[in-house]
Amino acid sequence: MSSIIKQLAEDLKEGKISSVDLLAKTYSEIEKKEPEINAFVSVEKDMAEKQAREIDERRKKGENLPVLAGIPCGIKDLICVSGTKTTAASKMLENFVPPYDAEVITRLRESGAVFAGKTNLDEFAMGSSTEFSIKGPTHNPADLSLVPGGSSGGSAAAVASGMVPYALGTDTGGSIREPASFCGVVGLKPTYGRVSRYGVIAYASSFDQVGPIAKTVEDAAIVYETIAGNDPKDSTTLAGNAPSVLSGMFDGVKGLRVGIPKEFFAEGVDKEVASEVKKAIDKLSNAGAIVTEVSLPLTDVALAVYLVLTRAEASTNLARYDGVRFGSTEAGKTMEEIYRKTRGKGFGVEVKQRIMLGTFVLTSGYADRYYRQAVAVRREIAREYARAFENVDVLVGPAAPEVAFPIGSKTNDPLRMYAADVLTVPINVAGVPALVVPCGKAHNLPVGLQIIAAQGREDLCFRVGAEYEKING
Amino acid sequence: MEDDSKIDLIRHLAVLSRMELTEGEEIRYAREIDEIVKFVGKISDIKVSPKPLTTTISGISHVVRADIFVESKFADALLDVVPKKEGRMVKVPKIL
Repeated sequence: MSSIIKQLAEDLKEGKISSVDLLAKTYSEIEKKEPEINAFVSVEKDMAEKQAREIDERRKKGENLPVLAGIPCGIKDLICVSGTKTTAASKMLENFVPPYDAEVITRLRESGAVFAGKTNLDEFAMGSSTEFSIKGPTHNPADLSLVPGGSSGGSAAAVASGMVPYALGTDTGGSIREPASFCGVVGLKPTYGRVSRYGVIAYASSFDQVGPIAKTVEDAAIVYETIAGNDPKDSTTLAGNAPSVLSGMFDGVKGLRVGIPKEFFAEGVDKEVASEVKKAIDKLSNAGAIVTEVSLPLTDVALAVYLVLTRAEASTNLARYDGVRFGSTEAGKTMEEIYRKTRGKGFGVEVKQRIMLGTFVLTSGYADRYYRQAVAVRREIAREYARAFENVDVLVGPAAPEVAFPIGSKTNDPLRMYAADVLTVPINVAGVPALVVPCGKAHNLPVGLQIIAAQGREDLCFRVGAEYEKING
Repeated sequence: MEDDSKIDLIRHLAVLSRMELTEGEEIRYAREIDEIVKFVGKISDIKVSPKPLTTTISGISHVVRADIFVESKFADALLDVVPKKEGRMVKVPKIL
């Protein structure tokens, strides 16, 4: 599939359409589809129109503008955009207007991007279905009775339904890739530290990464290159500029070593999903990739490690919502009463459960058995991935063990809900990058192919993704 | 774990987490947290070599910056989002 962003950039450059008119078309699509899909928490028409007008004026003056200039996009409502509400889909932050931009927003702004609106998510990015939101659930454009995946479900649904050509999401345990898979779009979780988390509302800081969701692999690469790179304001970012992924993207897969982790096709993975992914692997093999089976035995415990560590980090990160410094507040005679009432009323049902579980695994007497053990097992998992990448260039498998499920079917059964992330969380645990591209349908619904590479090798994810997209037409 | 002790644990965690819970939430969380704790117990079977907790998964450690005072350009803007304030101070109930 050819790049939608490049086509729009060409049209804007040639004067076939202005940024203001392109934005008007975007809002007309949003108005038409939003009542059914509910992909946005808020739209920021005035701000976006101002941005679009400025780009049109700069273009009229003959300025040579970046490829994203004047093109509308969606921003997950977990990412701070100065002067606009950033709610994290939580009652706690329903009226919070951040005074500054996240670093990824600064970089998009410098590229002339137009922020059409803030997309829906599970509260504080804690969920796999975009059902736990103050805005209500987002619906999957492929079938409105189904979830779009989560937590970046609003971003994926907005892109899949054609409301915006791309959107930003965040991915702590699959929150970009699972919705990309469920909605039939492309999504990248970059290497941990490749993209700045400055100004992104924290969930589990040793896992959180921002990444693009787009219709095509090239579009995702364009957005990724715009936002990636070292940021002195986020000390976990990797040194230096991020290497280009666009330059070698169309080099093909001939001679590339592709590993198939057998655990990604174990019991619990839907047979039709597995079959579609195997067909995709056959296509890569026919295109010249050298396909071998590999084993990642710790895949089975990655979800447990993830549950312990992310909840521990969430309980720490969310301690800042105290009703005193920012966000919503409840009246109380003592500080303790303000804390207890504000947090009791401000957080939703899933968020409170995660905070309490995190508190439990950090409690004296349990911290060694759960938290410290999980940190140590995490390192073993990272080592297992590093060893696998000594023998293969990429690992390929399904992004999710199933297709999109009905809204409401798992909200009262957390372990079943978390199982939807069983094939995405190991990638965050290991800190490596992974790209999801659509690969056929199972049960008449989209399936995602997950392409995983070693730390810092997003270029290989994009190279394989682009080749697969080309073969698949 | 018996049901009563599960509820007691939830109440204890709610105190530590500084969150007021409804009775319905206590019952829900008693069930959910018990199930999840049982599920994550599988990590104890894995042999590991303990390492200090001071590096990120990408290997970055000990990042420091120069100890230089920098005036924040957001000081006033950050005060604007405080729920209750008096002048340039955050207003809270008496703590002593």
